[in-house]
Amino acid sequence: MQAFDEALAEFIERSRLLLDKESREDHPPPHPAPLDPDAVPVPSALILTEELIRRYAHALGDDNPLYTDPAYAERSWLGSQVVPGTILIHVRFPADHGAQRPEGYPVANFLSGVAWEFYDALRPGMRFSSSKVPRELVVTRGRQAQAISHHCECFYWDNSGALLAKAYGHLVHLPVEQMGGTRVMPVERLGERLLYDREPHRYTETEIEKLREMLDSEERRGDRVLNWEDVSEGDELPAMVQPPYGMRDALTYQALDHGLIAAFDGTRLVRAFRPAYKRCRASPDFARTHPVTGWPYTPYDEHEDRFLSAYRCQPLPFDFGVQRAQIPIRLLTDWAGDHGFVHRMYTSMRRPVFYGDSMIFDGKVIRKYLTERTYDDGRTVCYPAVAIEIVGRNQRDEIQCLGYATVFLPSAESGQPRLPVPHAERPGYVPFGVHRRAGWY
Amino acid sequence: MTGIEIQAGVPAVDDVERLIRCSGRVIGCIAPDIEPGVDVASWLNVSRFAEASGDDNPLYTDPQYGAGSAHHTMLAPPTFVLAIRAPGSAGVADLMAHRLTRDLTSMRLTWDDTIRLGDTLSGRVCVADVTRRYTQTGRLRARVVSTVDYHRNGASFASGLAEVELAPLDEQTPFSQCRAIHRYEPADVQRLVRELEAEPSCRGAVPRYWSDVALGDTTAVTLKGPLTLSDIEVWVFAEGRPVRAGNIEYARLAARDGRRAPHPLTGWPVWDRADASLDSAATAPAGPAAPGGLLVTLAGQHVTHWMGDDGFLRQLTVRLHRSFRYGDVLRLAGTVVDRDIRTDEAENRYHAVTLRLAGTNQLGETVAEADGVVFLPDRGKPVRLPVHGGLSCDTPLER
Repeated sequence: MQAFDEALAEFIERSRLLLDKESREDHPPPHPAPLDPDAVPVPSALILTEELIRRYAHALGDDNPLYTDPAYAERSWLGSQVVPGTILIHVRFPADHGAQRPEGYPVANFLSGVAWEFYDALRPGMRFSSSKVPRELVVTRGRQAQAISHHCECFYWDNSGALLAKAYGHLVHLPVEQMGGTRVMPVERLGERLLYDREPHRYTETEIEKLREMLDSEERRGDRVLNWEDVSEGDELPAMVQPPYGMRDALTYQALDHGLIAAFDGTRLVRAFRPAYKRCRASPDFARTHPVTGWPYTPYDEHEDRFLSAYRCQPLPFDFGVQRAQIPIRLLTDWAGDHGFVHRMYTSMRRPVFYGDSMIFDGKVIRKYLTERTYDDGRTVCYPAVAIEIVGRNQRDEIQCLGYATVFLPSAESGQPRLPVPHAERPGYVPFGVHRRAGWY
Repeated sequence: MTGIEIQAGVPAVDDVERLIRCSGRVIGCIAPDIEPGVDVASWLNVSRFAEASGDDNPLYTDPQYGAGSAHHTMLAPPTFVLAIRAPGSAGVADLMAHRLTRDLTSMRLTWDDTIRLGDTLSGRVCVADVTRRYTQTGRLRARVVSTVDYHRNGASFASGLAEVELAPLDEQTPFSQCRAIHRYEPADVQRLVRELEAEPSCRGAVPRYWSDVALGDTTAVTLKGPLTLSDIEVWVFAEGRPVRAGNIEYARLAARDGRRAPHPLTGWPVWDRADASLDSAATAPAGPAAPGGLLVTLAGQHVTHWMGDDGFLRQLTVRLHRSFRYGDVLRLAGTVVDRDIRTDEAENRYHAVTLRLAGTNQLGETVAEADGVVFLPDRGKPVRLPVHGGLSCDTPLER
């Protein structure tokens, strides 16, 4: 078997060779699925319907009638039901996992950040295609150990060919010596390396009361207009809270995503019963030896299963980072109301949200400005904009998420933000060093 | 809030009586606890469902294969109806505070026709009855019977009935989680691998003719498990019920006193008791268990696997005896126990076979039993669908 160092070096080298090429991840499932898995731009099986939009909004924790009530939405300035642009993660996961092979490489990966740039509203009837290209791979030495930062960009088009959004995803690969030369550590080494020391948080009466109070008092601006002129730098957004993370939360993302895409090796991503067993045999990086049952063909439920999370060096089940690339958009839209448009949003995941953790998001206006966007033919549109700082904490007041956003607001002078936001036909890559900083928002 | 309060010091068994008393208001009404699932037999919905039972029959996943079948299109597995609406109401149990467990104990589904790719689907579950039942040891239980009607493109095509039993939380039932997660030794693992490797493919396009089937014929054993969290999760995706984030669930649970409980680990007071069925942390060290609907689907898959593409599953009756638990295996085996000929109201004749299934776990305990009534083709006599109206039995039993 390949040694850890050798496998790691191979992973880095092979992942570098994939830079600037269309990613092989998140293509449609192969035959007999109905879409061409080899087409580029990559088609998606996601079809926006009124019901799917409603379900997505609820999976995100948002019951805004713009998303859940088509009649309400039709009366709004948008003219139809819409869906938060973050649903595009179901078109293409906005980060890349690097080189693959059946036994995998000895790295535990975590989505570390996603920056979105939205150009238009997403509506029922839309279907999608995408392109995902890894752009940067940087090997660093962090506090705990070596880490590999992997950055990519994604383009999302609708079925008319209009570019709706871009995303920049940052995945961190942490080399794990206990895994040896493969992705899966031997069951007897499970627990040797844990990145955190945590038990499910036991809530005190005071903590429960505080959370309930926040949940009960959460408000949405809705169709009451928030004009740009009425906003000041330093304004604070009402906090947004998610109650303790549980198994249902872990399923929200997957319930919509499952079946839309192939596994990394291009095969159908099956997870149940005999087909899953066969998949475990064919792709050992999908299989874990269950520490209690001893069954060596247990699928890879490291996020959800308390018996398997140690395979990802975590002491407890933990959230999917991509959930925090979506959830905080509610903080922005609840504050801005129906008439605002979230143009950019960046969230970086600073630590996992563990099973039982709650999330509290705060926001603050850090800049208020006018910005112009230019069409290819040279026409420009002026947008009254605000930059917002996002801070997410858990119930222990530990920061689990940091980010920024740009929200275009209506103006007493210029009216509603004009959509779509003008953009180049294929906007250029915005490097990590730029899109992670407040100045880009 | 429902206004129904639990009196301090009242034994849990009194909650059974209270549930029966309060359920009078919903008998004959739409079940208040059954959520809609999918509304179309899209490729995605059907393939998710097929995957949830480990069904690799191309009739349920491959539009091209389906187009070449006797059905001229891809079908959904018959038990896909459970993704539309699942009978199995517990009456008003969600709406009132109580200290009861609830378990699906039986389900019967009857089909008049197949579900085809692209069909629009709907269903309605009603509470039919809520009654008292006493166990052999004299313990009181509440039994809720619910019925379901299914419509395809606006026309009725299937129906069902389910029974749910509610028992005091402090009493042991066959469904109680009272043993540790099963551990397999290397020799056990090798045996399971051998069984999985040797399992035959589904019968597929080769017809199984009625005249070639004899009483006492047996089906090949199918092995499910050891049950993993993935198996349970994929079932949740296949069922097609909305999965909501914690804050939305928090608001929903405010009106569902019977679903709310403090989380056993965190103490958070607004935890959905139903989540215990899929949560390995909250249920440790016993682990969660497969929902009853998944067991019904596994039984259905065993039957369709055996009958071939040209057969038609007319009726499936499943009796659940204990939980299919995390880490357990389920071996399903069937025997032909009856053959007869039936005629519908349009004078179509059907060659019927009854297959009796038993599902046992690794300890040899019976988890479920089922009877599947299958219409098979005979030479020169394909199965004519849909079935029109009621059926009359034309032949005496061959016993």
